Amino acid sequence: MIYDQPRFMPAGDRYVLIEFGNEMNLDLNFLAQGLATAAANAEIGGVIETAPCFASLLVHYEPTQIGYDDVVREFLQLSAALGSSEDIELESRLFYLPALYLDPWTKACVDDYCAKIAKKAPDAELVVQENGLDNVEHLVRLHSSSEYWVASLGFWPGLPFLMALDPRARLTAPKYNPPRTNTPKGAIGLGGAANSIYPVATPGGYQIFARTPVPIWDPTGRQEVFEGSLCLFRPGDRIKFVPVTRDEYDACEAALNDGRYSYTVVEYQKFGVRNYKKWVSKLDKKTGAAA
Amino acid sequence: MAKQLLSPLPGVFYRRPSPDEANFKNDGDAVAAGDTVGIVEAMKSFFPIEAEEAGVAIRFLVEDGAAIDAAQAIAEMD
Amino acid sequence: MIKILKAGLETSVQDYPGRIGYWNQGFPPSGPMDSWSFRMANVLVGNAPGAAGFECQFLGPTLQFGEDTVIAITGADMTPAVDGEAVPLWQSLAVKAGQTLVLSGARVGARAYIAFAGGLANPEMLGSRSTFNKAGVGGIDGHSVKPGQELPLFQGDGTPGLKVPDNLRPQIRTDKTWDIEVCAGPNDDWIDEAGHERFLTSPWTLSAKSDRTGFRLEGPEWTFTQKATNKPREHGSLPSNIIDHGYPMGAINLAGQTPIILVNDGPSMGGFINPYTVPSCAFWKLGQSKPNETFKFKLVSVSEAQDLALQIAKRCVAENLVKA
Repeated sequence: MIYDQPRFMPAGDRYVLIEFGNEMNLDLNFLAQGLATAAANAEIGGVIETAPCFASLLVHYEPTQIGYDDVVREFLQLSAALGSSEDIELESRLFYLPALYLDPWTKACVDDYCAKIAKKAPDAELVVQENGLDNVEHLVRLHSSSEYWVASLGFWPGLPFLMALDPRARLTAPKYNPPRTNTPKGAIGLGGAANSIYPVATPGGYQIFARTPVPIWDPTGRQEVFEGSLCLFRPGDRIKFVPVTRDEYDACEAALNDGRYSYTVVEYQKFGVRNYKKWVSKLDKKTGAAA
Repeated sequence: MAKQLLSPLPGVFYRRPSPDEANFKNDGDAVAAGDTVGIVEAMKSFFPIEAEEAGVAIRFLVEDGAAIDAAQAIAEMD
Repeated sequence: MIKILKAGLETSVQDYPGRIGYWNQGFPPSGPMDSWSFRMANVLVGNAPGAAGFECQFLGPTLQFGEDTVIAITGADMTPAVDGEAVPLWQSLAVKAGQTLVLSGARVGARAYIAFAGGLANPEMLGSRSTFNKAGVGGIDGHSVKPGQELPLFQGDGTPGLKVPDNLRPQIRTDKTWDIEVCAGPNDDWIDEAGHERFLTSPWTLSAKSDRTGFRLEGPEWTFTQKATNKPREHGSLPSNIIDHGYPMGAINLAGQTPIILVNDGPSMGGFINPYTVPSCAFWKLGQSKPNETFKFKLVSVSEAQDLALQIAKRCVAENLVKA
């Protein structure tokens, strides 16, 4: 359900949580990000920062400068001025990330989990079964066909939660139970309806079936493309995985080690929800499928 | 004269490295200098309590899993 | 310069309010857990209340001074001593180059703070010197201190012999029980009346599996409303699961049946409900509590919580200090 009006919930003395609906729906995330952008542009005194998630926006404010009721009033006004999600346009960088699908490292990690923690179907095969695909090659083609939308970041700093923008590439998968104690850095995975990339080696619960050699986390903060942060992505960025061979993966890693690698990123685009929806509805007509 | 073994920090005291392992020491055991006699858990980390000197027979004063204060005696030995 | 001789248990550089402005990329604020004691230590040595100093947890460090300076130690009583001689808490003290400061295990409270005139001068990372140990961000080399490290100080102008009057200090409990303020929400409507009643009237025990990421509590069962049991599938299978959403600092995060208070180094988002939130005015109590101690939660309104935080901030100013 998408709410008629966003719902405001107090969260302690310094935060407000704004909910736009109670389902997984890209539209709700567009509303959250649209409101986050509008709030940043409005420079409301006492509003320190916002953090969008799938269907909600968390607002952090300084109560000595603005009261709870005023935060609610300001965000209600901004939200009303936004109109429907169709009118939202967001700055959106597009990152092309090389990805070695069905790579040896995620496979070794899954084998290790099966040997030490619990038996399970290999991750790629499991995703194939769960989504009625033909085989793992089909999974690779489909997964690499879509652009992915950075809906939110968290769990670890810089870890992106990604939604497939192409409805035909929307896959789902159960999460590990119990979770893995480790995941290779750069592993690409799917849990529930969200995709992700692991910035560093951490525990995890997503089904993993590919790996990128390109760092999305740099604790030294020296990467120019990170724009002063320690992590690559921001909410509203898009990612396209480019399948590479093992040789290309190794060449990319060597270039990174020598400081010769440059990130492939398109920075001049805006993401317009209206155009996006127009494209999705065209697809719907073509395939006759309910996305 | 009994020598006391004190916990350097507050936390939860355990007599064994994990629930399915044996106690580091049992009452009456001899202790060599540097032996671990227990661990204290605080902030998800485990801090070993080591005997600074040797003793003939150790007696524990605190139950496994009990909360302890800094400088509390957890055992004494002759 | 300050040289680390012994590290203690995760002693770290922190500043206040910490790393603010990166919540949407998943960076927690970090900073001192008991910011009341921390700010007072800075004010005692003539610093701005937020300047970088040390947070010492459970077992303090041993430090050697590389220069003459003025310091203050506040918060937990770790029986501090300079060159073997006991020194008082809540007072500014002159120390000389070559002297050694030893902090032992915490006798009262859990976290002590050390401020230095001028403040620690490690490099800022994303606008803060605070340490986020888990991800290796800030502090020195991203982590808590290690023996042999040397930390530079900014030039300072501290006056020894100043004191925080008793009535302006946090009163750290010695009876192992704490009354912790909570605000209802954001997800209080997921818990049924009996569940709220149990939460607000039962004693909760702090687990030793608690750190600067989260404080894990043990206590009675939670029961839920329709909202938790009758919801779209994408929320997840447990009653306390919700579509991933942002977590406020202080959230009482219900992971299945286990409440975890998300504190300074906690996650920015996740898929569990937060029926209550501990407001900033009660964080000093979390910072000074120890494993197996008991929490009782006391419901306050958002504006009461804001007022309590303001009262603390008003105490942490130089005008309130007296001669020792």
